[in-house]
Amino acid sequence: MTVSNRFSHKAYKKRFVVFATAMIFFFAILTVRLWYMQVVRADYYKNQSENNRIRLRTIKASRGTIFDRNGEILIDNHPYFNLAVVPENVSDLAKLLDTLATVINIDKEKIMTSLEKRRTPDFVPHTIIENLSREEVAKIEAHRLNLPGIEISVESIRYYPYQTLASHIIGYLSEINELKLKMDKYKGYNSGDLLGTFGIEKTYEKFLKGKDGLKQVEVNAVGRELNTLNMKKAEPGNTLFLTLDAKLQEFVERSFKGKAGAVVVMDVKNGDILAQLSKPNFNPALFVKGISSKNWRALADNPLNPLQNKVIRGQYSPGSVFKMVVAAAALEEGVIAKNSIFKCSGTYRLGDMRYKCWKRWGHGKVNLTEAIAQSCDVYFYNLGSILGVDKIAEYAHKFGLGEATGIDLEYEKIGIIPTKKWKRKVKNEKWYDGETVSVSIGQSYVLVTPLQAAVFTATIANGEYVPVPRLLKRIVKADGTTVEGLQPKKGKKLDISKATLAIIKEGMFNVVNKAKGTALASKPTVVTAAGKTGTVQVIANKLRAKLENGQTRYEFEDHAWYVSYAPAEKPQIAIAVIVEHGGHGGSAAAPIAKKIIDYYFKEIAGDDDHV
Amino acid sequence: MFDRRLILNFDWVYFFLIVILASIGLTNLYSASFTIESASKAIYIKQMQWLSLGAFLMTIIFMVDYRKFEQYAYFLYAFGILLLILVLIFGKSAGGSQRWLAFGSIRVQPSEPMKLAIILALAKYFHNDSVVDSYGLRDLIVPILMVGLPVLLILKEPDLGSALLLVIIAASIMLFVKISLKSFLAIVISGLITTPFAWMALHSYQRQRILTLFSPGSDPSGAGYHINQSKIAVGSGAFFGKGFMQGTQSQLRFLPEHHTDFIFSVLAEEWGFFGCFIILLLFLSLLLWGIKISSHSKEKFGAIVAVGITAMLFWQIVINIGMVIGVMPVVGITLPLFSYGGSSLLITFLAFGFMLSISMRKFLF
Repeated sequence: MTVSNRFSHKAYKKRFVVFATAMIFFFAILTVRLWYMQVVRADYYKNQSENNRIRLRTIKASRGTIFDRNGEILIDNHPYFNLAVVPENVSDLAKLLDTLATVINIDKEKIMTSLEKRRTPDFVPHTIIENLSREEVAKIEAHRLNLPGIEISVESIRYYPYQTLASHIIGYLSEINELKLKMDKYKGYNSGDLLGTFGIEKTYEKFLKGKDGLKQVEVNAVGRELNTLNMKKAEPGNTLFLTLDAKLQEFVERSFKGKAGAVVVMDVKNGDILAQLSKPNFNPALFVKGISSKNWRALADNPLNPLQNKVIRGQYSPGSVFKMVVAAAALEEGVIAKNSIFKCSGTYRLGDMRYKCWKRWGHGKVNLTEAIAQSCDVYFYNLGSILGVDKIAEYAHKFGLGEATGIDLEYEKIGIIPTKKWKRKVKNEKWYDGETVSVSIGQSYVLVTPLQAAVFTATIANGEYVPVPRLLKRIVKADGTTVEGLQPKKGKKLDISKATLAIIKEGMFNVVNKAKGTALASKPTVVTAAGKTGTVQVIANKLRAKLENGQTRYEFEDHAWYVSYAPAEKPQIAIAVIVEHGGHGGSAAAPIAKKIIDYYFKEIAGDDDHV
Repeated sequence: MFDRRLILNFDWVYFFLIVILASIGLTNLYSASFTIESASKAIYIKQMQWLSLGAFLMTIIFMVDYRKFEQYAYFLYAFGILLLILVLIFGKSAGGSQRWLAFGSIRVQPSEPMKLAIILALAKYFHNDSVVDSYGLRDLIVPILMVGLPVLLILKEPDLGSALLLVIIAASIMLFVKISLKSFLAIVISGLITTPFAWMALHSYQRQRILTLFSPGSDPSGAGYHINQSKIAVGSGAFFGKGFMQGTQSQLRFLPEHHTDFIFSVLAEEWGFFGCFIILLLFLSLLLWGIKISSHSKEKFGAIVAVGITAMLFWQIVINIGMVIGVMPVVGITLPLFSYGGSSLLITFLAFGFMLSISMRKFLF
C-alpha cells in the first residue's frame, strides 16, 4: 500500500487546536448548566422530586351516629361490601369468573363488558358487584384461595333500623356537588363526599362529619402506592342524642296511620321535641346510595308532598285554636272581664254582612270560658271587632306566632299574622273590618305551622315564656365528653298576666272536661288534660256544595286541628295535631291526642326524667 | 502480520478510558434497570453480552490494519445504504417509525452502522482527492450527495436524531479537511433556506419536541413530560447525588426511557454534580485523546477517520447530555457506553477498534 497523499501536519495543526478548543468549550457549557441545575437550583428540583413521589390520600372519617333521648339508635352506619377485581393479578379472567359463579350468583357477561370498558390501570381494583350480602362475603372469603385477583372492599353507609320512623327529622345525605365544593364553607370536603342535605343530618353536619385523616404515601409514576410514609388518623364524627323518644314516636306514627298531616309532642318547659310526625313520610334508605330518578319522581310528584316536613313547612289556618290569642288580647286590653257575656244567636252582623257561628241555632248567652269550651264563634267575632286586627296580631306575636320558633331544622316557615300594614304591603289593599271578623276565629289570612301551634300551646301551659323547640339533646365526642355550648335556649318571656292565663286555661280545661266541651269525648283516662279543637274550612261552603254536587271530595274536607297540654294542673307536654282534610277537630284530631297523652303518661313519663 | 511494535505501541490510555467509562456505564445501567417493584436483571445482563461482543469485535478491528478498510469503504457504504432501504421495506416499527431490522431475535438499527460507513467513505473520498488547499462548493458535490442519500433514507423512517447526527458528523469532517469559508457560508445559507421546508416535512411529534425545548413547562404531561422529569432528576441530584440505586425519579419510574436516551439523568440523580463532572472529564479526555490520535497519524485516511469518529462521539455526548439537561431538543440520540442498546454499543466499540488501530499504527510509516 502506498501513501499517495502524504499527510502534511503543518496545515492541519491549527485545525486540531480549533477542534479541541471547541470540544472543551461545549463541555464547559454542559458543566456550567449542570452546576446551575444541581447546585444553584438544587433545592427547587429536590422539592419537585418530593412532590412527584409523595401523594396524600384521605382516610374517610366515619360519620357520627344518632340516638334518641334514651340511647335507642336511630341512624347507624353499616358496612357496604363491594366485590372488585384487580386485573393485573388475574391470569385467566374467564376461569376466575367461572369459579366465582360457583360461589355466588353473577352475571358473567355484564362483568366481562364492564371490565373491558374500564379505563383505569391494571393495578386499580375494578368494582364488579356492589352491595354483597354478609353470606356472600362469607362464601367468597371461604373460597379466597381459588379466587386470585378478587378483592372485597368495604365502605360505610347510613342504616336506619326504624326504617321510615321520624324520616323528616332523620333526613338524608347526598353527594356534595361541584358548586358547594368551591365554597369556603365546605373546605375540607372532597369530590364524592356525602353531605347532610335534609333534616338533622343537615343541621348538625359539622358535628357528624368528623375529620378525614391523611396518609402520606410514596407512589410511582403510575400512582401505585408503595409505602406509607406518614399517617394522620381520621377522627370519627360526634354522636348525637336527640330529644325524640323512639317509643313515643313509634306510637304517634301508629296512631296517625293512614292520615295526612302532622303531629308534634313537646316538653312545655325546655322545648324538647318528644315526637314529631309529618305524613306522608318517606324512607330515608332510598337516599343511601343516591336516590334513583324513578324513586325521586315518585316522591316529588306525590300531591301529598311526602318530602315536605309539614311540621315546620306546612302552613294552615289555625281556626278556633287561634281563639286563645283573641281571648288573651281582650282580657289584657280590658275589653271584657272573665264573666262578660255575649249572646250568640248563630249569626253575627256587621253592616250588610252576616257571619255564622258553627252552631246554626247559636249558643245563647255564653261567658268567655264557655265560649272557649264550646268554641262559640260569635263570641269571638264580637271580641275581634272591638280589638281590631292589629291588636290581635300584637298578642299573637307575644305567643310566638308569626315568628320562627327557632327549632334546629332548616327552612322553617313562619306563617302569617296579618295586620293592616301587612295587607297594604303584600296585597296593596286596605283592610276590611269583615276580615277582622274572620281573623278572630283564625281564618282569613292567618296561617300557622303545626310546630308554632305546639309552641303556642306549650307557652299557655308553662305560662312564663315561649319555649324554643329543639331536637338535639346533646352531642358526645368520640372520647366520651359532651360538646359544650349547646344548652337549650330560653325563649322570650310571655308578657301576659297570670290572671288572664288562668281564665284561658280554665276554658281549655273545660273543652275536655266540662259538658258541651268540644273534645269531651277525647278526655284522657290516665291524666287530666286541657285543649282546644279547630276545624278549618278549605273552601267556601257554597262553592264546595256546587263543586261536590252530592259527592264528597277529599280535598274539600275541612282540616282538623287539636292542641292540648297535660296534665292540666301541672303541664308537662304539649301536643298539636292536624289532620289534613280530616273533618272536625273534635272528632278527627282530638282522639289521636288523647291516645298519645294516655300512652305517654302510662308508658313513658316516670321512667325518664325529662319533666 | 504481527509486528512486535504493534503491541509496544498499543494505546493503553485510550483503552483504559474506554474500560473505565464502560464499567461506569454498566454499573449505572444496573441501577437504572431496577425499580422498587421489580428487579429485572435482563437489561444489564444483555448489555454485558453486547459489551463482550463489542470488545471482541474491537479486538479484531484493531488487529487488522485499518487501511484495509479503505479498500472496502465504498462497499461498506453501499451495504449500509442497502440496509437502510431494507429497513424501509421490512422494518419493524416502534413508536410510529420504522427503525429496526429483525434477524431472528436480534434487532439491528441500520442507521447506526451508517454512521461508521459514512466516516470511512468520506475519509476515502477526501484521502483520494488531490485538492490540497481548500475545498470549494463544486468539490463538495459528491460528498454532499454521499451524505444526502442516507440522510434522506433515515428521515423517511423517520428518525430525525440519527439523520441530524449523520449531517453534523459529515459537516465536521468537511470542516476538518478544510472547506473554504465561501462554500461553508453557502451551505449554511442554503441550509437556512431549506429549514422551513424541513420543518414542514417533520412529523408533528418531532415539531412538538423542538417546540417543547423552548418552553418545557407548556405541556408537563405531554411532550414536556420527558424533559421536565429528566430535569427534576438531574437537579434533585444536587452536589453529591442521592446515592447508588437511590434515585427516586428512576426507581419510581417517573423518568421515561431511563435506561436508553435518558440514562444520564439516572447518573446525575444518583451521583450529583460531582459524578457528572467526573464523567464529563473522562469523556473529554477520551475525545481529546482521539484528536491526539488523529494528529499523530502519519497519513490522511487515518487522520480523517479518527477525527470523524471523535466527532461522532462528541456530538452524541453533547446532544444526549444536552437534551437530558434541557438545552437540546429530545431527538433520541444515545449516550455512548451508557445507554442500553446493542446496535449503538457495537458501533461504538467498532469505532474504538479503529481508533486503537490508527493509534498503534502511527509509527509504521
